[in-house]
Amino acid sequence: MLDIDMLFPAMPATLRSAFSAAPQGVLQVMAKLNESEPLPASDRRFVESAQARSSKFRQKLFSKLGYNPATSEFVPPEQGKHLLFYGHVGCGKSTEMRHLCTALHGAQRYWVVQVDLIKMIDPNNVRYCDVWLAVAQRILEEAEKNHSIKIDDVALQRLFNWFKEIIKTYESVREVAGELKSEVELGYQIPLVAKLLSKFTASFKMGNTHREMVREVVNNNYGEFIEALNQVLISLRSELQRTNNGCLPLVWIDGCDRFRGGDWRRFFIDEGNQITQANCVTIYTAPLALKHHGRPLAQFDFLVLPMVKLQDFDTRDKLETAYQMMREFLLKRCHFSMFADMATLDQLIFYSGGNLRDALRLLRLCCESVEQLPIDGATVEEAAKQLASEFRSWLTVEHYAVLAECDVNLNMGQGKVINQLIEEGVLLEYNTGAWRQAHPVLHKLPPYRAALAQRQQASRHE
Amino acid sequence: MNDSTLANFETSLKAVAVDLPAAFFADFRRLARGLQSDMQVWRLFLLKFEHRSGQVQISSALRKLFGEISVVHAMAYADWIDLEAALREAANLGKPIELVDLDQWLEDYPDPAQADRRLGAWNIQRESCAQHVPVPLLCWLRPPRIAAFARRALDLWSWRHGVYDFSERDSAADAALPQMAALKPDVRHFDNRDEASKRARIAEIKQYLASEGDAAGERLQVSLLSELANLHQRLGEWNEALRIHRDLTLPGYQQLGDKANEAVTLNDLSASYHAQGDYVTALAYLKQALTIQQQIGDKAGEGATLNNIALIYNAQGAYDTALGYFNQALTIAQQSGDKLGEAATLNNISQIHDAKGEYEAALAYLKQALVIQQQIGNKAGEGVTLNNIAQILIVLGDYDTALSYLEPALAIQQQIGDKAGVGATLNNVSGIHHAQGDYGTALVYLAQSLAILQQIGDKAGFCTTLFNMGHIQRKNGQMPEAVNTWLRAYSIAKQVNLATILSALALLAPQLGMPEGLDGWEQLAQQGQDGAVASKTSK
Repeated sequence: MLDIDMLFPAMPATLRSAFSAAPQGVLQVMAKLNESEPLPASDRRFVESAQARSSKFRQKLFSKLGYNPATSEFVPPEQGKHLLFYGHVGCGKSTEMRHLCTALHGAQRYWVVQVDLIKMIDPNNVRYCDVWLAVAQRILEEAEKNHSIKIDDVALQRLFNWFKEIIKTYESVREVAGELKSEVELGYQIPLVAKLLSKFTASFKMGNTHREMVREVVNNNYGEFIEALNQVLISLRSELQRTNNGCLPLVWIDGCDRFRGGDWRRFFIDEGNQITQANCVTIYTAPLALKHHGRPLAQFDFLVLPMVKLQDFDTRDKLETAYQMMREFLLKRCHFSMFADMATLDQLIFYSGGNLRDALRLLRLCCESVEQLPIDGATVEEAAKQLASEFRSWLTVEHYAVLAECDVNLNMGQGKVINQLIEEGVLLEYNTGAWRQAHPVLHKLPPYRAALAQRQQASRHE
Repeated sequence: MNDSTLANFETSLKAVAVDLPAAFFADFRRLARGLQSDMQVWRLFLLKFEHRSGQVQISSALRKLFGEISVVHAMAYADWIDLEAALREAANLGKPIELVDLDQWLEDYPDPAQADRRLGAWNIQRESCAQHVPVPLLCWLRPPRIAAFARRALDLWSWRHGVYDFSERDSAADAALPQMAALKPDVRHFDNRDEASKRARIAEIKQYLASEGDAAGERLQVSLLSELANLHQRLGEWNEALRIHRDLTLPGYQQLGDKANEAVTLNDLSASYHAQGDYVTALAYLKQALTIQQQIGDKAGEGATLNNIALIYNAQGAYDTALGYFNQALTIAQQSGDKLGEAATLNNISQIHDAKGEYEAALAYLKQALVIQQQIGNKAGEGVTLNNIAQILIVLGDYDTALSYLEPALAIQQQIGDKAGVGATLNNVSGIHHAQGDYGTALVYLAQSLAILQQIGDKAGFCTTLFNMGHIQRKNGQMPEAVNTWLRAYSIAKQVNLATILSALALLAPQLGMPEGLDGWEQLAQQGQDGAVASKTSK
């Protein structure tokens, strides 16, 4: 059995307790594994990964947002700022962002509003107006929760009047506003405007017959809407400062990385101007494929959440810090007694390539196939083989050749096939893209091994 | 779940798995553990299979272990939106769902675009599926579909819970399985089926071939494939018919050494080429068929082939050659008591007389043919014959009687899904309105006809209809439009060498101020620009 005290000497009580609370038994582990959902900010399974990911992404993010955690100095951007937070699918963007937002939230820093888009709108059919109406709704809902915050009447009335005007003018909008039509006549308040916004976002989510008509109305009147929202944001800023709730609002829009291909292209590239009209510090979790898309995104700043780097790419030495972080990550989800020894655990980590979701997938595969606990090296090898065979289902000869080339040649640049392989997590990027490597489980596949051997042989002759 | 219940589960799992082939055990256990760990969330289990025995054994073992599992048949739903609604409803029971027929539902055949559309819609709607179908979803797929799933629905693929492999063949289990009742080929009656019934029969054959595969036996497989291709042909889906006949049926019969059916298939292949205006290839196939039938003494087959050869010569304007072949065919049909062949040949002979302006003779042959078609209940033939009679009556100026033949023809053709026939009949109805001076109505019917003919790729019919449309436009005072329409007809007629239209255009040329013959049309075609054409000829 794995010796936890030897692995984590002098571990704090909280860590010991988290390890002890990890599920024991294959079915229990599998039941708790949910690779697709980020952890809540307070979940004790969260593991600090900044050092293991390297590239100082945490400092970079704080610096871009004007915050110095060492000195608590805070110099926020004067104008709105729109920041794309890139990362591999399943590399932990949302979980990481939740923790970063906790650090950024405070009386002398930001007042953070999280917008979980997937829950609010239909991520399969997204337009800029859907997103910013949802953001406005969340801002007002958060403001409403905090009774001390009073949005300036003039600002709120302008937003309210925008609704009143389109309800009066357009039949389709009237139907969406439904029973709120009569309340609109009574006058504006935060709850009413928030309710109106929620009616609209709900209609976008439901995809009812009016969706496109309402969208058209909102799009045609988007300029006035965003101006009204900007006025609300200005008022909110001074209210936050007056009530000591923060210096200015920061909106984190989570879920943009889950838009389908056509939608994220349209949203970030074609509609970038509309999105960034809001005068607000905004962070968007964004798909890595957007970074490789090749079109300049002048309106946005960006930051990449790198993959956990398991080895030094110059010396190829195993990086102990990264392995220790991954061990903690796995042992908080699977009781240490379920592993035969540390070598087994490290073997699983090696095959994950530093991709957190794949580490969980491999752990699940081990639980599915283990003959008898503890999980041993043979089980991990079997799990790696299984994951590789799933990749094999769709990889082609061309893919193997490109993957082998990327393993040998560091200057492969971009390309459609490379981008697809990155998007699908078969080609892993480290150090914000400076390093790439084929997923380690691919070494289990004969066609990949053959392509790699052929490429290595060719490079010896070069 | 505590240790003892886990141990109990593992014991039950092993007890159930004892009947499974050894090769299935590891993945069955992975699957069972995956299901047992949480039944109340959406998870996508992709189950790989090659043979029906694997699917049946695993389905049965899962039911023994978990009790009830809902079943949803994908093929019952046209699109993802309908399938998702069915999955939502099934999920209300809170049991895992086994999604069967998915392999067929996502198959590229006969329409790759449809498979893409279905998979694409599922990929797009994955969030909705995860939210509204909160139970494990077991999807049976053959290896090519698993790959297609991964390539075409990458987002959905990345959400998979896992792939479980039950593709290894277990011959003993295959033999022990109750086979589906053998599907009998029905090659005589597809003409009388309506469109829905043809589509249903296509689905039935495909399902049978997919589930029984090799077990069906090579002869039955080839016969069913032949029927399948003919059904597509009758629906105007010539490319698909051609693909099946050329790539599957013909090699199948050749391998079986079945000369008679090889010749029939060569005839069927020729029909698809003929319909698309490729007379040279069509004739080449027919001559191969004729040689085989003469070698083996297949008189009925020989008669049919002679008829088909004659039809091609007829379309090319070689009427005497065509008549020679038709008469040979008629003699054979009458001698051998082949009523179907006799009626078809009489019909064809009438066409030659029609083309030569011998209308009374043409009518006499057609009425003989109609009696036979009605006697033997050949709906498709009856529709064609009624139509042909009406055409002659139109030429003779008896419009009311013509319409009285066209109405039942249209009803029959719509009933049996004969789109090509519907197109031709609409063309004729238009002809009557044209003759009666009601050009607006005539143009409406022609436009309907054109749409159908274009949809089914009937170039000859499309070309004829364009030619007729030109005349009506001319009479309607739309001269530039008429010339452009005829020019389109010329391009197609030239491409497929459609003699009737080419000679009609040659006769028409002097009336439009062009030299007699086709040179003027060719010149206009070379100029290419519609605008230039219109302005030149309207002077």
